[in-house]
Amino acid sequence: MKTILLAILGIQICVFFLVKQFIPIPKVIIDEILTKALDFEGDSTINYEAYYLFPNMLYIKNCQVKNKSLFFKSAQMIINLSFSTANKIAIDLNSLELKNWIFEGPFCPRISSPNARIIKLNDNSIFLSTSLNFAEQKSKLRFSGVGEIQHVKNLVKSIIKHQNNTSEANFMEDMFDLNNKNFDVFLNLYNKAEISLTEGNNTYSILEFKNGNLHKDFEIIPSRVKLKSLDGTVNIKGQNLHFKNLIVDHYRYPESISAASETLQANRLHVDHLELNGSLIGSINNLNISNSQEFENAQSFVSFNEKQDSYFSIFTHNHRNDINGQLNINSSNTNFYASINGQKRKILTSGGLLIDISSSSISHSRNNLVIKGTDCSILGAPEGNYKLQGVINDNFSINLSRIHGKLGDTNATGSFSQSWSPNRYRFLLNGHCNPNDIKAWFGEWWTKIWTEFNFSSLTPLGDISVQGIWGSTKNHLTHGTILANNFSYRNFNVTKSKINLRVDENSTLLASDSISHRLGTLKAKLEFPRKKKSQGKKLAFDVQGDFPFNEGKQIFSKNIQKELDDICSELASINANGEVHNNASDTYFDLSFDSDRNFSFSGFNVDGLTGKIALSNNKLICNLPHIILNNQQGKSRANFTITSVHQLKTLEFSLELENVSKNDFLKRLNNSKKIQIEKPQSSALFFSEDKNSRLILRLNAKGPLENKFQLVGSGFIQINDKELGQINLFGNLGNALSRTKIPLPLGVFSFNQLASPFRLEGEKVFFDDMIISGPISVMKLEGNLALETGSLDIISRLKLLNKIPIPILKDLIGAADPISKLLEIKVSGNLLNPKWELLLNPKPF
Amino acid sequence: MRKKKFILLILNLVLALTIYFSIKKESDDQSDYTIKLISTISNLNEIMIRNVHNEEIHLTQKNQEWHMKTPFSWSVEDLFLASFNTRISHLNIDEISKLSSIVEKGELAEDYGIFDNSPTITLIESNQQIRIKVGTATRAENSVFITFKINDDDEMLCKCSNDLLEIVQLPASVWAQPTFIKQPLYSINAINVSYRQNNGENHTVSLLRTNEIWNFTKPFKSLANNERVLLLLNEIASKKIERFKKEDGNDINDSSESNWLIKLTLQSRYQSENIYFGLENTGNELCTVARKETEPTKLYLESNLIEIFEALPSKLRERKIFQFSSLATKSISIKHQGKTLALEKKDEMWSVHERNDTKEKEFSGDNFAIGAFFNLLNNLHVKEFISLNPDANEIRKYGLHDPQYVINFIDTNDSTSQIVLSKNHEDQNLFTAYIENESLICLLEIEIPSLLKPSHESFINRDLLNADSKVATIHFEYPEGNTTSKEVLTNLDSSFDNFITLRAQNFVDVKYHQDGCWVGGDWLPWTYNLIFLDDKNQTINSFNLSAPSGATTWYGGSSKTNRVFNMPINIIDELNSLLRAIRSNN
Repeated sequence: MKTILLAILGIQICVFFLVKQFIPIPKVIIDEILTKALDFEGDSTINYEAYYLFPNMLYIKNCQVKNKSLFFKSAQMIINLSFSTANKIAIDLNSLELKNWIFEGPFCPRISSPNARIIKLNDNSIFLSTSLNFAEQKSKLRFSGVGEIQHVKNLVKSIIKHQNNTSEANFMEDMFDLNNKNFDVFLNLYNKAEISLTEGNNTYSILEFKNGNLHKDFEIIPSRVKLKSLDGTVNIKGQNLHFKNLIVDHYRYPESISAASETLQANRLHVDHLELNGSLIGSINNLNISNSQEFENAQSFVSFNEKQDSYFSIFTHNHRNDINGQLNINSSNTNFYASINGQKRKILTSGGLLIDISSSSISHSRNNLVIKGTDCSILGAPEGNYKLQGVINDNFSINLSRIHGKLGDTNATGSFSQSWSPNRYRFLLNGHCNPNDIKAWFGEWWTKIWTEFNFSSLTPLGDISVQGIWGSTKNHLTHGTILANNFSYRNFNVTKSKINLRVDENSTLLASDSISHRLGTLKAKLEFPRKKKSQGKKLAFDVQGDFPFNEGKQIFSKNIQKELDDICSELASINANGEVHNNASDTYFDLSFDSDRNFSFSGFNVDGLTGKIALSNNKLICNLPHIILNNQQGKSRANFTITSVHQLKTLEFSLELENVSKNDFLKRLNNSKKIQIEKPQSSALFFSEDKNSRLILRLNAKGPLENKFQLVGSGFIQINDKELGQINLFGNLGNALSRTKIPLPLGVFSFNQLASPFRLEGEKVFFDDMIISGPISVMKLEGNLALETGSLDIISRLKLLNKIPIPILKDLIGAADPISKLLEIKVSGNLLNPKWELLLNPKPF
Repeated sequence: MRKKKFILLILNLVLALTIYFSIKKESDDQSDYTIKLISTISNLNEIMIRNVHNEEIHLTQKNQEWHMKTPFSWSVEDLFLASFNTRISHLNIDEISKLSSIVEKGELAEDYGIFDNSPTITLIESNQQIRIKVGTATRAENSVFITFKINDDDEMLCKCSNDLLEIVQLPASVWAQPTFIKQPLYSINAINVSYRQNNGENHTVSLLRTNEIWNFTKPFKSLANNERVLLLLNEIASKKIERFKKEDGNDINDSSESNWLIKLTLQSRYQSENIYFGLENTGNELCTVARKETEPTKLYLESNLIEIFEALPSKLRERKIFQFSSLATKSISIKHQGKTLALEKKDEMWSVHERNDTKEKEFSGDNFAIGAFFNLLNNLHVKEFISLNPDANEIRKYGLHDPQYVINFIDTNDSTSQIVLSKNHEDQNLFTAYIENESLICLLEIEIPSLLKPSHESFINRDLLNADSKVATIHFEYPEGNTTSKEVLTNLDSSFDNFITLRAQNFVDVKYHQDGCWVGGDWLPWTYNLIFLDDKNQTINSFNLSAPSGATTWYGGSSKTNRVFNMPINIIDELNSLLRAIRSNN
């Protein structure tokens, strides 16, 4: 006895010293247990320290499991074991406790937890408890549950399998706002299957459920779901639903009852107040949805805004949907807004819409839809009356075959169709439509286009198709024709037109083969690219026909208008095309014109003109091969190029006037704004009384556009003028010589031709060899003329032709041609007041 | 020796106890309470709560259905029970000591706010009963003193998270289902509303659902509007009970002593419920009160709830009274201003007859147009029911003895029916109608041009190709420079099926010329040709087409019929696609 007691005491002493001693366990043993128990993937790395604590405890420290898809770490794992000897010796798990653990999986956010406990209550049931922290969402979840072991195992396996197969977690995260929430969950798998979840004032409860066949796809079939939320939010594809006092009741009948009643499930949803935010903004009160499903049929009933009589039902049978009901929507009690291009716009601004849907099982097409709008303004458009009639098909697509709408100046009939997934729509409209009336329905781009159109009381007649997908900027197409009379576009008055319209996601195209205005007809194509697709392009145009330049040049852009600003013409036949870009250097155009009418260029009037102006790469090239001056007498042509580099514009031009009326040209020149030399000087230069005087002028010059006195070039001028001697320059010479008492033959200053090559060097014109000739004399001039000041520096010599005898001079000078010896004349001063000085020149003529 | 043995024994025992106590962890911690609570609520049969308002709330469970016995009898709201269970399952309970031991220390239970009548929660399952008494808040405000007693064990003084305090502060009514109809909307098959008259007799409105369609059975037999019936049921089902009051020993029934005005009976497949409604002056206002036959509890509802039962026959009666089927109709004729337009069906083919006193014209009818016409008729609403079974004087009073329109129907069984219409004198948009079969005078709003201005144009056949045409290829001819090119379509082309069902959208009342037509003052030359050929390359039919005139306007002409027509949008779309393809290929 004593020995036994001693032995026991010895053992007890051993045990006593063993208690609370951490005895390391070989890793191979635990590896085997963990790998089998938890079914880790092959690539997993597992690290831990395992100890045995007397008498029945495994203590695992710093456990870490990691593979490509998950990460698990626990500071402590305490496993309590029991030894069963009922049939054979076995080790059972009594409890498992985790402390400070972290889990990251592919389909769930990072979870951390201070604890987790699984305790075996008896042979059949266990208790589970944990607190989970979702760091990303700053949310917490407290979980506790009790249940039969087999049920729990099945459920856990099902969930793990389900998580591997779906991305429901992402979907849940997208749909529900899980941030800053504290959830309490209670799972009861004891004698029933029930899970309840509370969060703040919200309770979600699946009162009964069963999980499907584990060997097949995972499925939890909730047979009785109740949900109550005093204040909650759901997000569906960007559309936010904020509900107050939501109750959902779903009842799925057991198969045994279903078989008898044929009823599979009944659902009911009630929301006291539902606020929508997103593409659709507004609120609904008292929304009720009831639904019942049987084997063959399903019935649903929806009502909302109790006092407004808005309700409808859907009866689904034999793959057909019968819809009946009415929606009574009016602006005073419905406040729905649409978010269009970031702007919040009230959908029904005034008036009311009554939507009636009725089906009849014996009718040809069953879901007749009638929409009546009375004095209603949609999206801020003018108030109007609408009537739409058609059908809703079995797939809920809508065909409204008869539409009649009258709003503002618009009075149109047409049809409408709508299909779903994608939400494709199409309007066909035929009637009088003022685009400005419906600008509220389109984006800013529509308004921008049409604000510059001014329609008279004759509203355009349109035959238009508008189709697209709601919410998508792609696949949109509006096309058709508009017959519009007496309207103006940027002050260009059109008397009659037939315009083809095509609007898609890339651009708005207005094209017409016949635009009549008071002076003729045009063909025109204007394309306005959509901002996002434009790449800086604002307008592309192609215009041909009779073009009233003065009114019409405004139809292009301000840029082009500026370039064409110097051109004035009542009418020209044109062929123009080009593009206008935000960046002026990208803007280009090509404009050919032909006019037999008065045409002016920088104020220089011509009687007709054929030419071409082209702008590209900041270079404006103007080619005027045929300029009509003074009723086709003579020939004229000009070319010029203006090149812009940064802010500097360089002009390079050539001008050829062949045998044109000199006085006429000078008059025109006098009137020109840019080319003119100061008026008194120009008239002083060449103006005479000879109405038949002719001019030949050839000039090539180059220089800065902004300063005409810096041009450099060369040319040739010839004037045939009977009264050439009378021009100021020579008239005064005559007077000056008469004062010398030199006996000059009569008519010696009667010149009729001037011919001279010349050089243009900045503000001065140099001529080295100007010949002025008359019937009895020739004058040779050499010198320069300052264009800005009119100052002269000329040496001229006079020669008499045919050896006209001047006896006194002959005797004095002893020369056969004493004049040329004698009259070397220096001209100075300025054009208005030339000064003459006679020089005795020994040089021969 | 014995002493040594004794010492050894004592040492053994001491060591054993030391080992036992050192091994025995501090397991009597909070989780034990939680486990016990969860084990109990997972299998609850009964809950008793004495709340701070001194209400004794007694809930019992039978067949998974919970019922409140006191303070009033009513069904328990499942969601609240779920919320209760969840809250209980997460209580943090920390044991302080046995309640008896604090007395030994000279303290009183009352010091912790524990009194005999303290708020109490008792959870009862088959083998276990837990009683929790709720005391005062601890110094740390987020917890409360409680006593915790399992069966006959010692009552323990504990600290607990103050969720428990919130539970016992709630009134009994939160446990009750807030609505008084449990049956799903679509399970209800019959509605009976009895209105108690002053003379003690009842006036009854009854509706019965047969094959998903609601019909009045009382006071008259007629179709009811399904959706309006559902709306009524939904309205009743959504009304929230504002207050409950126990009414013991006072069964409600149909006897005249009972103080009710309306009795509502809802019958579903498996159950029938009687609910009595009345009005009660509560001093401040007139309340609608209700009682279920099966519950001795008076329910206080919104004051105006009783109004929803007013004028049910008028509110619920189906206003779309026509149910014409083009399939079951043999003929329909409209007589107006001496002319008769008749649509007659023979061998499933419709024909249109326009006749007056002297002549008759016959045209082939259009199935689609006639079907759509029937739809429009069936969609007519009764604005107002005027008279049922009117006498001749009444018919004369409304000008229906000499009507403006007479519409006669003959169905495939040769049964006839007639509707006569005359414009209403007061509102020109309305028509007074006498519907012979229903023996009913009513007001109808009619906006059907083809009925009001009957003309053969609305109904004539718009098919441009014979149904039995065997089209093998279609040639689309188009100008190319000075020549004409063609595109050949076969049944391999996706557009082929659309083209072979070519119909006119509408016929245009202009003259057909060989080279074009005048429409609205504009000359439209024929630009394209659409030629249908059979498998032997023989022309079946050919049509000239203009250039498109608008998105929905593209004229065609037939030299065969000398008619000009506008094409439907599906053909216009196909032609546009075809032209785009031709242009892009060129």
